[in-house]
Amino acid sequence: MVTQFHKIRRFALVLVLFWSAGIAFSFYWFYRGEQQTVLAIARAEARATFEKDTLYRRWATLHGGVYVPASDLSPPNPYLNHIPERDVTTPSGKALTLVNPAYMTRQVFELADSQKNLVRGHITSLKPIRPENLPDPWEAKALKLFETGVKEVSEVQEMGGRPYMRLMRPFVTDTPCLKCHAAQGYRVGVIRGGVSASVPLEVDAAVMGDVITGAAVSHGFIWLLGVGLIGTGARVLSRSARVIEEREERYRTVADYTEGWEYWQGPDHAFRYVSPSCEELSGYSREEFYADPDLLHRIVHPEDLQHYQSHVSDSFRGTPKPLDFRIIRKDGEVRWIAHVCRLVYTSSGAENGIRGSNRDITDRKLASQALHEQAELLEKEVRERVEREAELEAKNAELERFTYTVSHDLKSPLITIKGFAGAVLKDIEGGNLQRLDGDVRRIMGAADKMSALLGDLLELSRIGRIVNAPSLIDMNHLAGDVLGQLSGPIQQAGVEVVLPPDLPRVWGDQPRIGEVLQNLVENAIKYRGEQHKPRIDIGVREGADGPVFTVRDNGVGVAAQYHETIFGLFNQLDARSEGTGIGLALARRIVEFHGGKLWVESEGAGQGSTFCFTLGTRPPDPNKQG
Amino acid sequence: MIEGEPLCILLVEDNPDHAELAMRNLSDAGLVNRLFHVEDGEAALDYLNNRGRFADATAYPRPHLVLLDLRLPKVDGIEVLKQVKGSDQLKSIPVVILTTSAAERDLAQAYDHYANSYLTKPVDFDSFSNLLRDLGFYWLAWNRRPTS
Repeated sequence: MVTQFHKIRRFALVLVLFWSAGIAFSFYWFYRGEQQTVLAIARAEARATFEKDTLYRRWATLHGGVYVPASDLSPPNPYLNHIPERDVTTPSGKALTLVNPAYMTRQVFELADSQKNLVRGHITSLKPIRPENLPDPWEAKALKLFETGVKEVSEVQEMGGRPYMRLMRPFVTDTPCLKCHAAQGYRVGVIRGGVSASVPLEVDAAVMGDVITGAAVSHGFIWLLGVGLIGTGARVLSRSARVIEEREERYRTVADYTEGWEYWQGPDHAFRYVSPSCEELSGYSREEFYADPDLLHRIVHPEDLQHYQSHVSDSFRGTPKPLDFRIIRKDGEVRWIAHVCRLVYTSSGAENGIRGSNRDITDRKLASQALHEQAELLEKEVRERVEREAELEAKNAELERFTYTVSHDLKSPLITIKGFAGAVLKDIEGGNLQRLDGDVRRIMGAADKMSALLGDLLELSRIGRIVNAPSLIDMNHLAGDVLGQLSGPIQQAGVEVVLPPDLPRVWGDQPRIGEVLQNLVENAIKYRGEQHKPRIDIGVREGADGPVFTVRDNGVGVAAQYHETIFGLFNQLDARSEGTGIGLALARRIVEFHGGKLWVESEGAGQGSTFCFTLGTRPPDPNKQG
Repeated sequence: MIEGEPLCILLVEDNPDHAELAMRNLSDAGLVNRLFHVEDGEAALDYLNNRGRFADATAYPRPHLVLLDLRLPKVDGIEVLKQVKGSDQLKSIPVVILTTSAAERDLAQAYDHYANSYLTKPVDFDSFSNLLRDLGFYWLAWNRRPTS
């Protein structure tokens, strides 16, 4: 990985290279400039020397040469033999010889040559009169160039191991020149030769050397300063980069290696950070979340989306509550997420989005769900068992009550029979016959009662199994049949019975439901009381559990405290009434067996009563044991 | 006759045949001056409290003994017993349960509610006669009552 530190170092290195190159170039530029300057100065010096020489020469030429005392220094010029009056003697006897400009120039140049650092001159020609004046190779080259029209040739040349700026200009033949050189065939305007001036460069070079050294030193300083600055800057930068990197690594390590799926959403809902573990949970990589701020929204399970959305808007308003929701993973799997989040703030205290944590709680949820289901199952089982137990208990109690009732009620007529039989025997023994008739009747009555009881008991024992298959009963038809069977007692009692034509059809065991109706109508007739216009209304009304059938009479009525007692086995409110007291108990058992209810509504004694019953709307299950 | 006042019994019995047998046997023993018979629990309570048709306290005096059947229409015997024994005025009247039931539960319930005695009606005629005679002698002749 290219760290910030490495980047900075590389950049510093490049910077140093550029800096060095810049400095080197600057130095080179300066050096070149200095060199040019030195040469220019040398050239100018050479030129000046040349001009000066030319000037002196011209002066000499204008005078047609000068006479000097003939000496060893200036012997008479053998090449001027042809000149008249080459040698003259002053009146005082001093011998003078003519020195022409070339001779003079040569002598001056020889003088200069004897001094080391003076500008050297040399007069030369491709065709010199004096052989010593033959050009050296460089001069020969320059002289040839002059013939092509070049006015000046200058170059740095090494002479005797020392550098010189050599400059050469041509000599053009002038009229006075012909005094000496006409013999050579020169004409005016022809290039006769040239004079070269050689400026020793060593002195200038020494001066330049100082300047260059100074420049090098200053450049060196500037270079060092620059490199130092770059180095320091790079070090400072990389130190802070290292600090930042370390800090970043610390936070990254903490954030990236979390078990849960951590994230930070900016105020614009875009993800600023998502931990890599999001992929483990959701199947989507963090890059996908960065690219699409709505992705999280989209993978929330549709059933939980509304909760999630209201949670998000709550959270951004600053009232976040923990939330469990489901997501659909990239591979389609559903996962449970426990989510908590909170608002975060910048260091200056401004709201800066939401910091959220998502944890996978699928296993826990599934386990708790399984546990919950198990618990529900167990609860249901317990409830069913309790219900069964209660049912069983109720049955046991009923059985006990039944046994008790039966033993009591069957024993009663036995006591009567044996008691009066004993009384009859005693009366016969005592000859007292007047009570015999009544006592025997009592005995017979008790026997009849016992027989009726036994019949009823048999009947009661039959309920609990369906004798007849359930069918859809036309209640109007059934009630009509029942009233037909009871027409005798109805007429005898003078009861008016009203039957509406619109009773609904119900499912049930038809003969049994007929028995219920018969019992209720019989009951109404039996307890019509002293009513002058006894009347029975059969009807129906809508109840919560379907139709409620009613048998209403205007007879004696039932006080509120006896509304349940009257349905007890062999219970009779009036000891003198006919029957065994099994009718209502029987009717109730039949109705309950059909999944319905039977009850009485009465305002009290003398107010008449309404017996009501419902029946289950479904056909009863023939397998069910009542 | 140990005491001079006329002895009075209230018989609470829904079965008219049994009532007849009881009355016949009690009168044969020659112990009872007055015997009142009611057929259900409500009537018994009305009598004892001189309510309704029994409002006349002279015609329907406080009994010296109550013979009480358990299975009665309207208000059953145990309820009558409870009310008698729960009443400060009536609780001193001996109440003898006379019933066909031999059930343990009835027996326990009766004594729980302070019945003075519990008798099961014998099926045999002689036993029935003897029981009623002895019962009469015991409660009306031998037994000492508080002076009211």
